[in-house]
Amino acid sequence: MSNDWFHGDELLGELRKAPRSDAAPRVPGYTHLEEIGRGGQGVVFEALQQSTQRTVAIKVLHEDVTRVVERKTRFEREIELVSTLEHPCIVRVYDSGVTEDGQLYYVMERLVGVPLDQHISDTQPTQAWIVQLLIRIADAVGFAHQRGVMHRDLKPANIIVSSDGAPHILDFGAAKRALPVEDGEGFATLTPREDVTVAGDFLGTLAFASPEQVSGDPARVDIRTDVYALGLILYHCLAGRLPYDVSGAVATVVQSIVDARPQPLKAHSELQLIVSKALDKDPERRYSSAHTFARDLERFLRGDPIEARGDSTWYVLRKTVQKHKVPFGLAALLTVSAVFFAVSMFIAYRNVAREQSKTSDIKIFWEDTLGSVAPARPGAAITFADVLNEAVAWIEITTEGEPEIEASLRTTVGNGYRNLGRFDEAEEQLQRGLALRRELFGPNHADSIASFNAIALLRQSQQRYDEAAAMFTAALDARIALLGSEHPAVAQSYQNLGRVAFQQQRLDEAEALYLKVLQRRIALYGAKHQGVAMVQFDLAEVARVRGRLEESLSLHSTALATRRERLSPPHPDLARSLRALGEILTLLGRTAEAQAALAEADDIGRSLRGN
Amino acid sequence: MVPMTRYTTHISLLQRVSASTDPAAWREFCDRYGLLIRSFARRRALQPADCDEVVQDVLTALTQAMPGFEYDPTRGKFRGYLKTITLREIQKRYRQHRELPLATDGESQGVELERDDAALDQTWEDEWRQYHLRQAMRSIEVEFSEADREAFDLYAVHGTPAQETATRLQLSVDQVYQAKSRILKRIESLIERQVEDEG
Repeated sequence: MSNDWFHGDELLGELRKAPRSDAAPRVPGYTHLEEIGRGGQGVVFEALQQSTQRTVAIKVLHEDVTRVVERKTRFEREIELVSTLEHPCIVRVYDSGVTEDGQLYYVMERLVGVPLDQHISDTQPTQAWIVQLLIRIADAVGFAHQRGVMHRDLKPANIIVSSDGAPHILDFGAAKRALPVEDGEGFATLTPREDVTVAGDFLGTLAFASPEQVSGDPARVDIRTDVYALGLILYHCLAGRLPYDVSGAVATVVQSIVDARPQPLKAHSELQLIVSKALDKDPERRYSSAHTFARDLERFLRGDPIEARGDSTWYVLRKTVQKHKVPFGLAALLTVSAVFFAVSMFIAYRNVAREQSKTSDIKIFWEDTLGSVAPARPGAAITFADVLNEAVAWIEITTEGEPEIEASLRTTVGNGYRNLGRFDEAEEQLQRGLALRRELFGPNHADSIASFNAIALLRQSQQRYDEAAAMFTAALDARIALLGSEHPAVAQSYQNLGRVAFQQQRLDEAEALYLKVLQRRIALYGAKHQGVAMVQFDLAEVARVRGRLEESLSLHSTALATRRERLSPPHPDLARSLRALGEILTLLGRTAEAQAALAEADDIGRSLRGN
Repeated sequence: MVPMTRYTTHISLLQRVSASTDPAAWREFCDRYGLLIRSFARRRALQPADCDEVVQDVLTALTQAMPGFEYDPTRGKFRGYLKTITLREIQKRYRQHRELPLATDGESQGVELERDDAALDQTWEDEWRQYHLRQAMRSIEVEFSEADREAFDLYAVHGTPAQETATRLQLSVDQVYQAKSRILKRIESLIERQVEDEG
């Protein structure tokens, strides 16, 4: 260590670091005030609360409010709201008031620990540990949001990690005045009276501000502003820096926040996706809440599919529906979701391997298509058929020379037409998809079989059950020959055959096939899996038709429980399960429970439709 | 017995503490190093009650070691020694509470405090400097007038403009400049002596 630190400017620098104990304010009801920190907003003291004899921290704000009664009232209202927050990861606020010198203060829990950034650089935790820490922080933020309190100045300096490793968020609802977005006071804390720490504090706040905060549009600041800050904190913990340069002049920093694309993170690609979604410049495209952000981080830790990956599909879908006020019924939405699910699965499969460019092609496809749909007749509502017609036009133009993508999209769009009941269009797209694939890969390739199978599904929808059953059987044989009898696609074929049998009233056969599927999927994925829930749903329907209502109820309940756990609401499959459950409960005469389930299904339907 | 003065050298204090017969020397010793140990412990995220215990235990450990502690002119010997036992006591507290975040997978380096890394060195160095400053400021308090000290504090430390400082304290601007340069110079020479003295 240098031994000449005690000269000139360096010595003065050390002197400025020294804690100052001079001029402790007088706060009624508290004694033994000892300064423990100071920042741009005010000075923090440790003190003894006389009535309870407990040690607390008192933050005395720089603001002198003796002349501003209105300011005092608002401050007290804020503190009153914040003091209702009781959460292990939120620093409790007990009290507030005005010192004998006319300065605002609030009293909070005394906490010993280190700021989050120091904790990270001191302990160098693993990525998994950082993610878990962020889940706890995000859940605490979500908890406050549910009670109507936003933070608006989340940054590592406002999160204290105590010695047991738990994060504690400081300054809820109190820190927002540091940015010019909140009210006419603007940069009120940057008065010339203050010293350099204020500037430092402000810059710290600025660095962690969101695009909507720095663009000076207070109306756009909402809970997703905190989501953005959580994304920044996660990024900062993982990378040790911010995603863009925040070192220049204030105007440059603001520009970066509004425009600069985050630099890629050296992290798992899924974690990268989660961070990117939280850091989207457009609040609409971020996680809708701190809780959904936390849940996606959990999914990442568990290795489950994350929501961020589905961004370009669900988002674009919901967006389109909302923008055009599409009168989609729930059934149509289920259809749409099936198509989107197919595309998402396609993306997921492709992404696993190496074909990154194809993935982004598909993404562009959905964004372009759904972004540009117009109703068939001007003024009319947009329909899903419009979306698909647009998609077909798009395929014709853009997939030239890319037969693999063209085939995949034609199959997906064909499935969409099938679900809409537009069988002629479906037939054309599916046949063209099948022809392309057979030409590319030969008839016994998994993709060719999938296209063939799609046509079998079309026959089923056309109620040409015998043809459908024959085709499903052919697909099943081909799959067993190609993939072996234990492959998941084989189980899917059994399920398809089971459904045709169910529709043809061959209930014994249907039930046997479904049970086979159930057994295989549980062996493969465990009991809590979406595929398991799906076949439990089918089995429940068989039981219902056969009058075994209690059994049906039990199966539907199990499927619903899994779907609640695995799907993020609102999701069409949740609505389906709730509706089916509601019907069974009605049959059993359990009217109140039935109504609750049906009402929830309706709620989901409504939020899927965007209102 | 050596008479108490405002400024006791580190060496003479160590010698007196080593002799272990002088309660005043021990009080002085605790005054000096207690705050250093406490601040360091706090910055290592210990609870206040734990910090107090660390201070007590470190000083007790010193009491036991000091009678046999021979002053060694090798630089930094005492400083290094104090740091080692302070860290040892802090780690003891952590182990007692088992309260450090343990990693969830095999990548962990184990408990962070076991590592003697650069951040830890920096924290110790920061606290050590503050300790020297506190020592020096004790002398400044008796050697300079209140007006000089306030001028120094406002102008040199807080960065208040010289003119404003002068007006507020009813001094001339020149007096403000002089107070700054004289006190700064004095602190420099005091700390220089302390650091040499520390060995």
